[in-house]
Amino acid sequence: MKEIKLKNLLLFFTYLISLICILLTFKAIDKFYFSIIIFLFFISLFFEKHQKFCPRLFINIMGIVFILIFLFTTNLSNLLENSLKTLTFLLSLKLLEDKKVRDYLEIYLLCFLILAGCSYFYTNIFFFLLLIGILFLLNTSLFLCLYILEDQNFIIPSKKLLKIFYINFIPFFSLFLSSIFFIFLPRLSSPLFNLNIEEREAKTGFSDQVTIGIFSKIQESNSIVLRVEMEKIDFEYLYWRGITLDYFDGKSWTKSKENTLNFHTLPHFFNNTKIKQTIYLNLPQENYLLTLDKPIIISGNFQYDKDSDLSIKILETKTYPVRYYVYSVISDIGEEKINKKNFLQLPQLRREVEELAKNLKGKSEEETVKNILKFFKESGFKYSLKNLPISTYPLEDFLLKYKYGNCEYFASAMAVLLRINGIPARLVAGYKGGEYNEWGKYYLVREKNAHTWVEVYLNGRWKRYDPTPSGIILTQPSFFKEKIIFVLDLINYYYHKFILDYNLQLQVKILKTFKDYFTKEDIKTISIQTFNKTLLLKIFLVLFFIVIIYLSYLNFKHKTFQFFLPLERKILIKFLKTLKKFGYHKKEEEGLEEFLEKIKDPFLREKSKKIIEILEIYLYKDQTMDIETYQRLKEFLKEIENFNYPYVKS
Amino acid sequence: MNLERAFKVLTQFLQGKEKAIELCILCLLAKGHLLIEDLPGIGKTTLALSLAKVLGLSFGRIQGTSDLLPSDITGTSIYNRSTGKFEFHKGPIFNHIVLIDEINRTPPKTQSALLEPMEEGQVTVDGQTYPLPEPFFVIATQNPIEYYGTYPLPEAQLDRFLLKISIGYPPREVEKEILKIGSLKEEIISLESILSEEEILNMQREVKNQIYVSEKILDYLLDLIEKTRKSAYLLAGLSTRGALSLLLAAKARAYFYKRDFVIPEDLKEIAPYSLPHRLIFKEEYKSLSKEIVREIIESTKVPI
Repeated sequence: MKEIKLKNLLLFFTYLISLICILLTFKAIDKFYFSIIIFLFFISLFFEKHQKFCPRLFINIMGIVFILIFLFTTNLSNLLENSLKTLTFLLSLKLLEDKKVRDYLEIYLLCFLILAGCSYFYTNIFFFLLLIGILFLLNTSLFLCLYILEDQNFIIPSKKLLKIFYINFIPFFSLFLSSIFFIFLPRLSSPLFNLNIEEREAKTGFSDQVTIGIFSKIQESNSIVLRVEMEKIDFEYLYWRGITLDYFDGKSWTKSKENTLNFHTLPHFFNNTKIKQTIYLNLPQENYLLTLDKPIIISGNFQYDKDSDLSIKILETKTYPVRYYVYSVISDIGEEKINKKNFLQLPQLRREVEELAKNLKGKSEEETVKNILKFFKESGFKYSLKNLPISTYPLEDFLLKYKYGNCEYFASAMAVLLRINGIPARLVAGYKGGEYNEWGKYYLVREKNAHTWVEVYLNGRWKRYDPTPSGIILTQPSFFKEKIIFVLDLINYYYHKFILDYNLQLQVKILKTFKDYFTKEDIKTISIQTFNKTLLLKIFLVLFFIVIIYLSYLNFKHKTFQFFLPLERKILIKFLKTLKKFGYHKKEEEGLEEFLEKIKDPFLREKSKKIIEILEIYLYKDQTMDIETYQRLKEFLKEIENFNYPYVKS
Repeated sequence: MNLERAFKVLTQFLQGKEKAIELCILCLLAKGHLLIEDLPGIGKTTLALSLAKVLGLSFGRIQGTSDLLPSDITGTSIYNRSTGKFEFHKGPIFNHIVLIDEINRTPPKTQSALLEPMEEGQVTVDGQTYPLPEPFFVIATQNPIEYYGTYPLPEAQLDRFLLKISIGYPPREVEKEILKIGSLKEEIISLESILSEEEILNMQREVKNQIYVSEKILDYLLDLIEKTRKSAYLLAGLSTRGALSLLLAAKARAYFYKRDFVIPEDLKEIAPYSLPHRLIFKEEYKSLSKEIVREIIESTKVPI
């Protein structure tokens, strides 16, 4: 039979846990330290293989030195990052040592602290699942430590390997129990330590300016920008507004200060149907909140600014994800007064462009708009994300020379053409479309849905026009893989909704529901129902007390505490149980020595005799067993348990 | 330990009688008296004699006959002409170990003369009280079959015996050995003593005072007593004195097994020898006395 040394198993678990923890810090600490730590990790593996370790003194000195260094470089803004750095570094140092049981415990403690720190950076359910997995691993390792403490060279047959994992029933059940704490333990409405964490998410797709002609290729990213809980609406209305841009310098569109007016100019939206959205914004968008088309009412747990151009900006730095509620209007709204001059600004442009613009001028403003849209459609313009022209005059080159580009080119070009013709126009950057998750009733908007379009001021209203050819319209997911992603995302979404966003208000609400359930006053059945419930509760309490009193009476009578058996009884019960496995059952009318007579097997008999002889002293001489004797007897019992009785089927 | 050695020597001479020897010694340790009910020629006398020899005690023997008088046991005062006084001549009872053979052949008057020495360890003759040597140990035998011309011992008399045992036939192998070697009586007589009076008295004291009896054991004993008193087969259950002597014998057994506390097995082992002659069975169940006692013991829960 193959045998496994428990120490090796423990080492494997320890390195696995440590590696996971180290890898998790990738997001949190700077890459230089990260690579050093990884390097140290591999060195420790190498050491382990050759059984040569760093001297403890050296490690300790290194540890102290690094703690001091980190202490001096730490301030409030990088507290978390530096702590994680220190912890991870200490962990990798610790791994370099020759490990005794206490070292394992220290390693686990470090891992635990690292995990706690990392939880700030990961809001994904997969992190949570990983955490549970590590919890089980940690638990198993601690259990193994107990064996190693007894005997460094503890060996078990590989067949029985699985039994080690049985110990995980304990954390498994405690997880269930702690979920009760999760629901009822009072929560803070804001984090206890509001650490200023610099978000390290890669910024793609959206920025507070639209620049063309710099990147030749735009990466399509699948990361999720926002989830919007709302009813399903027509695809063509799915424009998620981020920022409105009005100033063009020939290359980039930015937001000018003059247009940051108050919101009061927005008229007549009361008659329009409003669409309610609950938005979970995952990635920061330069502090701009994304909303469906024209937001009317916004509420959230933060301060914000509404601009006249409908963009909304959070004033304080928030940790993401952010949740907020929006009511939006997707139909046209009433007239709006603007300062036309602000939306007619143009940079110096080439003559050809101006000529092109004049050629597209129609009899009315509407016709001009139509002409321009027609121009993009019929003059061979193509949508592309690759090989974008890099030039100093990107707009002119796009219009006159290359005729292909992404939405930013199309939108910029249209706005410029309109402005030349004296029609006020502005750019809106945001997202378009999204996948509707039927099960969760929410839209999923990804980074690749980033889009830019044009708003044109016609007849006192801003109207949306999208000159970009419909190359980026996403089809509804139909592939199996997509569906799996959908389900996974749904789980993640619920994790966010019910666990991460579980706050004091929700808690109060749940408690209130509980309370309401018990004190529900239905006028018709008021007497019976409430009476029954309170009576039931009372009866239950009374029964509970009776049981408690009875138990204490029993304890008093037998002078033993029933819940915590004295050691000699404990070992007696264990002993009898063990022998039962070998087919020896002690009758109640039998004394222990009589029982011993029944045992045929010489080995069992000899061991049992030892146990019984000691037990009798404590049982019949009314002595309390000390823990040492208990341990000794337990060892005897272990020997019996490990004995392979030839006649018993295993 | 000398007791152990004594036991070893005894088992050598009395092969196959370990149980009887053990009970014999227990009886002595508990300061009790032994009644052996068995057929003649089984080795009762040999047992008593060798016990006396090994223990280094004096040995007296009384043969029970229908004309045995009390004075034949206790001794009698005889007129001394030279002194002109009556002098007391001690009878065979003035020995450490007294074997009374076929006690049920002696008439009741003579049997009752044994009451005082057995209970009080003294003899009163002609108004004069003489103390008996200590330790004092009576081994009486009775014949189970020959009812003819016998006077069955009354309950009060039976109660004086701590244990009632029977030796039984030796196993076939052992009997073969005995046949080969022949009687060992002479060797027994020339045995050297292993224990002394003093040691035996010490042991008796230790048994009485130094063996711990837990509440559990007492409860167990009380359970047993209660069962005998409630049993449908019995007219009368165990008396308090019976319970006391059972406990004392159990203590002796604990001592014999080098324990300083009593375990339930002590009671269980002793009870079949201690109870049947003390209980009064209904007429129809008399012949089943041992089985009934065993049933009572087997059906009582053992405390652990």
